[in-house]
Amino acid sequence: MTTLNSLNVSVSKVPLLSIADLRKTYGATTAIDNVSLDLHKGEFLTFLGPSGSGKTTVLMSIAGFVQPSSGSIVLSGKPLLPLAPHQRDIGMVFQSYALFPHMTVAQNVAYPLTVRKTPKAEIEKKVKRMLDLVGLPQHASRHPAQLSGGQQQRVALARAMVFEPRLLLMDEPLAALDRKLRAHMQIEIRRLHRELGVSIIYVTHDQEEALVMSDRIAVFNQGRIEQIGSPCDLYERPQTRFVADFIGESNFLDAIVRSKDKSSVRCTLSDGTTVAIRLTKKTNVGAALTIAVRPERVRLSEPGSSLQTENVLKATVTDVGYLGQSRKYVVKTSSGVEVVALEQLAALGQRTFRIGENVQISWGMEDGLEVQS
Amino acid sequence: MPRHILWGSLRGVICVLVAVYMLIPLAIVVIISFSSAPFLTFPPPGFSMQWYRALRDPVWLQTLGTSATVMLPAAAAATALGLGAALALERPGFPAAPAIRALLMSPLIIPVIITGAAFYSVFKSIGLQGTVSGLILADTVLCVPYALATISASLQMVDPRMAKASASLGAKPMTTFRRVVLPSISSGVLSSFLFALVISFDELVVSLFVSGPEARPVTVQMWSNIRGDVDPTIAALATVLFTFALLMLLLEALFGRGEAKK
Repeated sequence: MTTLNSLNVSVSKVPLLSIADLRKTYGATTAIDNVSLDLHKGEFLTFLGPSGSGKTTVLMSIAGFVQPSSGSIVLSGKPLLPLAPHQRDIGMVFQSYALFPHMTVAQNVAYPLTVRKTPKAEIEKKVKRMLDLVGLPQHASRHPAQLSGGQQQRVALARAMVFEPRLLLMDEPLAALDRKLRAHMQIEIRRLHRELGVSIIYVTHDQEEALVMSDRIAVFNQGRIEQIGSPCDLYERPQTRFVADFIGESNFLDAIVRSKDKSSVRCTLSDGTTVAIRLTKKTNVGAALTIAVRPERVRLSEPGSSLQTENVLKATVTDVGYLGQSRKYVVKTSSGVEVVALEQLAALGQRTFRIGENVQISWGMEDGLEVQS
Repeated sequence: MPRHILWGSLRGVICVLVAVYMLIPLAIVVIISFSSAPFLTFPPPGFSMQWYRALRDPVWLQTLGTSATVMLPAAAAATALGLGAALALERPGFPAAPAIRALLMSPLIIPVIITGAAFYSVFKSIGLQGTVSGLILADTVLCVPYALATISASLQMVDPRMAKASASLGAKPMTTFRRVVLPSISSGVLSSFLFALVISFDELVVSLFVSGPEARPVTVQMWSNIRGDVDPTIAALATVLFTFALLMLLLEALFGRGEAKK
């Protein structure tokens, strides 16, 4: 029964791309270490991480420009590693665009079809359709040097998608563009992804970009995947301190577990204050753990005012920053831990605090998350 | 006067002086070639075209022909070899690349007279001494360093991601070379061919050893003429050669690597 059941599941949800235990070492240094992940058809998966975290090495292994030391990559049920890059049928968009300077825009976009010996009439039709899709139909006869950075990026996109590759890889494609254009291109790429239903692996070190664009994000750190999940998952339920810190901001509090019941864990902080968090992991009494609290979940109030939550700390305001739609407070607790609080400026006449003022900081039990250090 | 203006004008003056110093001998040769006097004298007493007419002498026509038959295949072969070597040596991780590059560049460093003597003894023993084929082979070796350096420089300008992009788009390595790499370095290849033409045409020292009565390039003929009877025919011929070199450099500037990008 079990066998049949698991077989059924694997048939209906067979991943397009499956990476298992991928490792790459350069001499003594390990670039990637036991990376495993699945990508489903039509999915937009982002590799997010600081530079040198291994995300580009994994991408280049899929493209065929890096030969992994061990592990396997399977695309549509067939092993990918024995194939040369040109046999893999995987589109790639580079950060530098890598357009061919001696060809026109139309010739660049036609290139993957020309090398596949596609009939001329069909090439013409497909190139025209792609250029329409990326919004550059009137630029077909220009050379790449005559286009702006954003336009070159669109040509690179069109060229990588025109041959309908099984998978599209994008290596920090927007890193060279300015902020406004980048935001615009993010929407464009999302639109193309929806309209063409292409499966995409996208590499970036910009967490905001990853959150906006992805169906799922794999967070890379030091050659490993720290966590993989939907943007909402990663932001609201980070498993590790690294993820809680890399995606959004977090305050970290070290605590010792004192008692637990069915749904909650009570711990003490270094200054002796008791705080409570939801029970999510198998935490033992007496164990040390790290609690992450998002700045926007931390509330400031006047000392002595009664609050509904049990997570209350005494603190002193050390810095105030006005951000327009919100105000950012930095406070120091009595035990000397710095905590950042972000207060939305929703209503006029909201109580504000000055530097040096004594305050209470508080957060709900759901807002404290246990993370691995 | 502010210091930077002083130094700026001084630099300008020095540059002009150096340029004049280098160009004066050339200018004198060109002027003498139009001289009416039957010997090399400056300034010439009058104007005449007689020394250009003297170039119609079969000795000159024949040796000019030999030079042309040597320089075209030598330049083509050197460019082809330089292209192949540059492609291999620019490949990351090519074994012993620095040593191979040094070996191919060595004709630039080894005194030409040694190279000439070496060619002489080798060619003599295998029957190539004094033949056009010998001259072609010798000039090819002498031109390879220039071709290698020029083409290597253009290859280094090609973004390695171009070739990767081409492969990811489905092009076989040979297609990538033909359609992406070669067009990107074509101006460098042309430059290298034009340089090689000039160098082969202009070559004297090695040709002195390798040439013979049956295969005598124009430079060797000029050399023996200068040692014998010196008349302004040499100046006229020098002007012709100078014009040819200038033309090649002009072509190079127009179509070669000097041109940035379209």
